[in-house]
Amino acid sequence: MIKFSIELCSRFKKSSAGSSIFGSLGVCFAVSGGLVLFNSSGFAKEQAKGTMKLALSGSSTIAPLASDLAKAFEKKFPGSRLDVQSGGSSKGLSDVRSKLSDIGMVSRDLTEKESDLRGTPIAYDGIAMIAHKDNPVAELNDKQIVSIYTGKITNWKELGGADHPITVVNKAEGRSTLELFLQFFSLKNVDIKAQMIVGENEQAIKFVGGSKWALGYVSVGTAEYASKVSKTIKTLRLNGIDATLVNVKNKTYPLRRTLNFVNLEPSSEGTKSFLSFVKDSEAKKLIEDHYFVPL
Amino acid sequence: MYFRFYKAVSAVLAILVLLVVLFLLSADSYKVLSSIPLSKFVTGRWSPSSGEYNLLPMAVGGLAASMGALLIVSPLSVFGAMALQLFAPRSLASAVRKIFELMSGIPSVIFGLWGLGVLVPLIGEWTPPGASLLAAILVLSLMVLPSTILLVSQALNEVPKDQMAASFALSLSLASQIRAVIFPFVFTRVVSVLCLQFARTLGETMAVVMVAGNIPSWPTSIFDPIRTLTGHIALEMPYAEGLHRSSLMLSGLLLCLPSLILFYLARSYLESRRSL
Repeated sequence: MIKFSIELCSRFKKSSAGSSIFGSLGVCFAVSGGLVLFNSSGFAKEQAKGTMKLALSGSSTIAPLASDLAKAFEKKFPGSRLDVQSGGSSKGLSDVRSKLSDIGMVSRDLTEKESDLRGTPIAYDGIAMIAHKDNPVAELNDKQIVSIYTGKITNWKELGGADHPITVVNKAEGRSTLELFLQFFSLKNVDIKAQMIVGENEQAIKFVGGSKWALGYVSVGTAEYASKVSKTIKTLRLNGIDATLVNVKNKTYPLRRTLNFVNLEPSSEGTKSFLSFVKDSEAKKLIEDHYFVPL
Repeated sequence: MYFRFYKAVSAVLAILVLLVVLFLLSADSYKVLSSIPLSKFVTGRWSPSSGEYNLLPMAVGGLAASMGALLIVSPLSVFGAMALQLFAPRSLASAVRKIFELMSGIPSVIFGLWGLGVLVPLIGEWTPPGASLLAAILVLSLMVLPSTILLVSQALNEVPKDQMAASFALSLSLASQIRAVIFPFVFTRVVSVLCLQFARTLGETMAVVMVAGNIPSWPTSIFDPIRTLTGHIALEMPYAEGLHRSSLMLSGLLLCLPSLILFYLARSYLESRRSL
């Protein structure tokens, strides 16, 4: 929403000229300002009048998906009100335990310590390494990827490829793919030496598809789709395992995690109906829209 | 009567809206400004997760890209407009003008896509990585060149015909005509056109995000990737929270103020020259 309004602003700025420039600049900023204001405070302040009210909190990876699921749920069950707040998986767990929220969002596999809560897996999230389709390198392992992203390996020939420098593509701060990538390889974002930073998955695919010697990573769902449809990129095997949705589902592909909803037993009626809604075909479509892998 | 009323209302509304925007940006930036010492915004790295908020590389990156584009566009547009207005045969000039009009209507994202698909790989083959300050400069130049040429040639067109005729009657050469009659007349107009285009390149977001590389560090050459303030906001805002979010609002404020100052300077400069 915010990004859209920023784009809108730059459009506006272009079309306005001369004397009206102050006015239209003001208007477009006001639009974005208004949206920002609405986004940050409008929903939380509104009191629920309906019969069912649920609070969700936790992982910022799941939060965008959860708010879409919540919107669809509210549409299907008029009178219900769902409040989604992000703040990290651990906040989700502690909020549920202290009954601040009904459902916690946890973007990793649950550990034994969390057996006091009821976990409901909703989707898988996996990351595929991608390169240009003409790149002869077909496989990388953990160590090589860490060396590339920390700037110790800078040429494809060190990986058995052509004698060309590697263009390292990283994700912008705050993206869930970045978070999983860093966590899996035990890296810190400040140690990564990248030449290109992208936001959306699509942008990474566009870039890698255009530059022959680039290496990037995107959600497995997006990568598989793009390598089949546009055929400008290919996915690289990680430790000898193909980066496919099937391998993410059967848990053989290592660079993956489970996205969970957790709640306290016994589940309330509202929680029950939301958790069963999440397994609907309608919800599946939303999960795929967010490039996660449905169960 | 009614017309006057509407005019007054829309003028007040426009100013009000601008003030509201500035207020919102300042209010949202206050959180980070009050909890982080000012020196933190110009030293260290950009890494909000570890409490580092250096915005200087982005401010410099954006200025460098816009200045570079201005350096390319200014001479090209002035000479291009002169060629169109003074030298080219009328039929050719009007055909070329039509093309420029069409080009200036193309959304900037399209220039970005072209840059991503064609320009970046091309530069990458030559001097990797390709996504760089140079790519940003070229895409921005291409984006603003058509409309700049049109605006400058419009300024040339406004040179009073009687002055041109008089200088022609004095049998001045074309070179002296340009120097003595046209140049003094169009100079202020061209400066204000270039100021507006500069602000436009400074505000451009998507086209730059696609080709600039977006690395938040100092560029050491034009082949290094840069990140602009606009791109910075667009890339990180969707998932930003707390101080991180507030620091992005501060970037917005940083972006807003120079644009406003630039508009103001361009305008007041133009006015002062006109009243002479």
